[in-house]
Amino acid sequence: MAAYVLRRLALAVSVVLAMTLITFILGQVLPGDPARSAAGLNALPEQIEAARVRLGLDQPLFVQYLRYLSRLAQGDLGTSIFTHRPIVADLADNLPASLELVLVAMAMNVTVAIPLGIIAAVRGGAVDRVVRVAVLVGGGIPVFWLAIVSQLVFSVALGWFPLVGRLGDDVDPGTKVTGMLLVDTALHGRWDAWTSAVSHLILPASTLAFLFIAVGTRVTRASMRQVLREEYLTFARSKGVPERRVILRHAFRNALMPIVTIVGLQFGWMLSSTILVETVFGRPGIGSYAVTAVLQKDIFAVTAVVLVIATAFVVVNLLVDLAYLGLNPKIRLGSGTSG
Amino acid sequence: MGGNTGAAALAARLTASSLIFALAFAACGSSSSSQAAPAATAKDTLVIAENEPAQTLDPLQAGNSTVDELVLLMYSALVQYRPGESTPSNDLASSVDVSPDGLVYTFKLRTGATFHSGNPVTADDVKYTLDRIKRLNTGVASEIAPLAKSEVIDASTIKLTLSSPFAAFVPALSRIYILDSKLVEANKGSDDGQSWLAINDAGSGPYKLKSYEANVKAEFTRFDGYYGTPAKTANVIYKYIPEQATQRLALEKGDVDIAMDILVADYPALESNYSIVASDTNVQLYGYFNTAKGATADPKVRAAISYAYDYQTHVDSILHGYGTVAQGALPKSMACWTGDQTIPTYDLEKAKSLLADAGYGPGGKQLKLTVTSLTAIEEMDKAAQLLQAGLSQIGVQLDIKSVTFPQFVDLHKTIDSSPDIGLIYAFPSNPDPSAVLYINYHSRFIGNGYNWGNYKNPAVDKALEQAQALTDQSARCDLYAQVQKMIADDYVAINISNPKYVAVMSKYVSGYAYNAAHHQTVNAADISVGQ
Repeated sequence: MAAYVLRRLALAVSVVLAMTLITFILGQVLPGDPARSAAGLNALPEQIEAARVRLGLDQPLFVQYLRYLSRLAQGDLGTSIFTHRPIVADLADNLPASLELVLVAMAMNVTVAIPLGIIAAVRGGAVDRVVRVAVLVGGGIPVFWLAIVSQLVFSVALGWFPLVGRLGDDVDPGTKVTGMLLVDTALHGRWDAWTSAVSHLILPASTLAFLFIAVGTRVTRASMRQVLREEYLTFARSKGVPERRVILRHAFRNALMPIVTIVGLQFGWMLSSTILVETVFGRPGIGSYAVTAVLQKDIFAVTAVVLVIATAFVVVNLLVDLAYLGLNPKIRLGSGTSG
Repeated sequence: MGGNTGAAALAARLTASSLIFALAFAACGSSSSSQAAPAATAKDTLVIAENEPAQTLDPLQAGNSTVDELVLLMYSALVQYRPGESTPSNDLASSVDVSPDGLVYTFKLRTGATFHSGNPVTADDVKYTLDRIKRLNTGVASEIAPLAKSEVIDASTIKLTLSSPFAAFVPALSRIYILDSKLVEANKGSDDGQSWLAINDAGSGPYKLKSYEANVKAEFTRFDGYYGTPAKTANVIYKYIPEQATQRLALEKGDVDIAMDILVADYPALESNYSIVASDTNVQLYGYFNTAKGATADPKVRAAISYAYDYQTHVDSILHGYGTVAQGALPKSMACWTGDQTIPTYDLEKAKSLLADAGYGPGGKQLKLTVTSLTAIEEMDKAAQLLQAGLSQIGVQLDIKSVTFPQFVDLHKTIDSSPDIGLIYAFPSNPDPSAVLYINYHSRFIGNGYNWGNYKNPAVDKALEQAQALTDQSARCDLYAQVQKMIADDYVAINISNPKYVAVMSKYVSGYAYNAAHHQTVNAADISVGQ
């Protein structure tokens, strides 16, 4: 088991390192000149050259990359050419907002997709058909359209939820601890702010989760159906185990591996998909920050964002790999292949 | 199999309860922000929806309208343009004296002005601001490039010396916002205060910064120690709503009072309940030719193309009437515009014959060109298609390439990489004609400024330089008239349109007026909200 964990950690670290190299190269390939962006629209040639030197862009690529790595090691992601602030500060403002959105959307995803998939697999017949059609339709709806329509229906027409933002205008968010409003307001016992934050999260999170629920349901259903055919379930029933335990304890538990894998991958995909939802719902986040960085040829910010999302992806999948240890005894006991 | 009810029932209960759970919290939460649509928001707060967030609050970057709109509330400059005025009025300055050679400007400052911190506004602050701009040499630095030296004479007198005469120096100062030097100096860190000023307020303007959440909202509250007329509304909130459809919903719901980016297609639906305020601007859409390379280096080709653009359809269908056809290189609304120049019209026969003269068309070579259009700018997108349609009627093939602004700037770094035609707006930073003619047509700005046409005409250069140096406005206008005529004869660009600036607002808003010297900003201090 130790070997498995170490191998996984080593893989994770090398993936992140490879990402730094890839994003650095991508940054060089992006069209546009960052020195010119930094110097401003009306800049004279000497101002642009001065900016180039100041940003270290006149050095050979190899040197620039090494400097970049050494700063990374000290936790310095560089200074944004566009906002003139340390990128770590920019991310501290933007990343928690996206994380919060994704975590709530993921919670919605899991609480809807898994039961729905189980029901479809277990019940079969008409219920199964209805769920499959619903999933097909749901998976095909564009996020952007869904976002605007849900604003129209639930916010404007029905008035149930606020339209944009993370918090009501007259609500004070209080001191920032993690940057995630749900956590910070709860930590300080500010329940009025907490409810305001939750109500602002419902529409964006459910819009974001919609597409992923479709996929999650399908995977759960497929995995459950496969397991439901296994003979050990027949054996459990013949022993007199209640049906509920058969489904949840025996079948579902063994169907979990593909589901956990997909959910792990979905976390990364969700994080990258936040841009459309954030744009429509006027929320800050890593998505809009990334788009601005690309359009402004802010290579330091682009590289930092790609690196952060890639790292999040790697970390979540590392956790999934470690979860396999709990789910599959064969891996825990060291027999079998890498799992 | 029997016993399905167990698992299925549990799953169903899980699903149902999570949905109810969600709705319950929503119901609790919505009570804190529910509104009867569309009512006026509280009278003491003006809420403005804007789609593009500011990169920083540092006035150094006020050349950009997203920064300017916020900085205009918090800061003051030596002189300032009021909405509708084409000459600047005194703001922090009470008088200016210009030496006969046009090189020395001595400003006397008004007494009693203080910053939000309580520090008095003195000549030291002016010198500090100007020195910092020169040191950092970016952003608004290019507006005051001829400034060589600033000297403090006494607490309320400052002497500015230029390296060469610059007639539009005072107009340019309307974008130079004065910093609270003591406050900035205490927070300057290692980057001359840039990261501190990115999120903080060091101004003396009618509003002070109450809170700022980058990319989300900026809140301002009235500064009671303001030296000028107090702001009419106590609080202003700029809310960043990137999606235009959502801005419309926010307006209809009553969440915002002014929406700055509603799509033209939505105006008819909003007309009856909201005010659609359209104002003339000094903005102009151009299609600059690459006058130094390829087929477009031939003036006859450029002339032919200029006669193949359907200008009226552009205004009627693309702008839906919110704008006018451009009349030459300088917008007609600006001082020194002259009618004594050739202004092309949509005339396909003339276009064909000019093209034939140049050796292209049915009898001669096939002409194939590329036009660049800025990504996601609807007017440019459609203009490119309209141009393509017009040119196909005279036998010219036009390819459309969508680029971002940094890419556009990059392409124009060299004459070879510049596109045949580049669609771009000119946003003059002040109403002086040099803000358009000098910046866009002097050859020194080829490859490193706004001379997108790579245009080099020594006679034009000379006239522009002379006009920069003179202070007599009518003499300058004579020179600018000659310049406009020469540019028109050379067909440097397709002068397309002067779009109007449209803001949609609730009927409870009064006092809004567009300011041509500060495009895409709101004169919040003059606005009141209420019945």
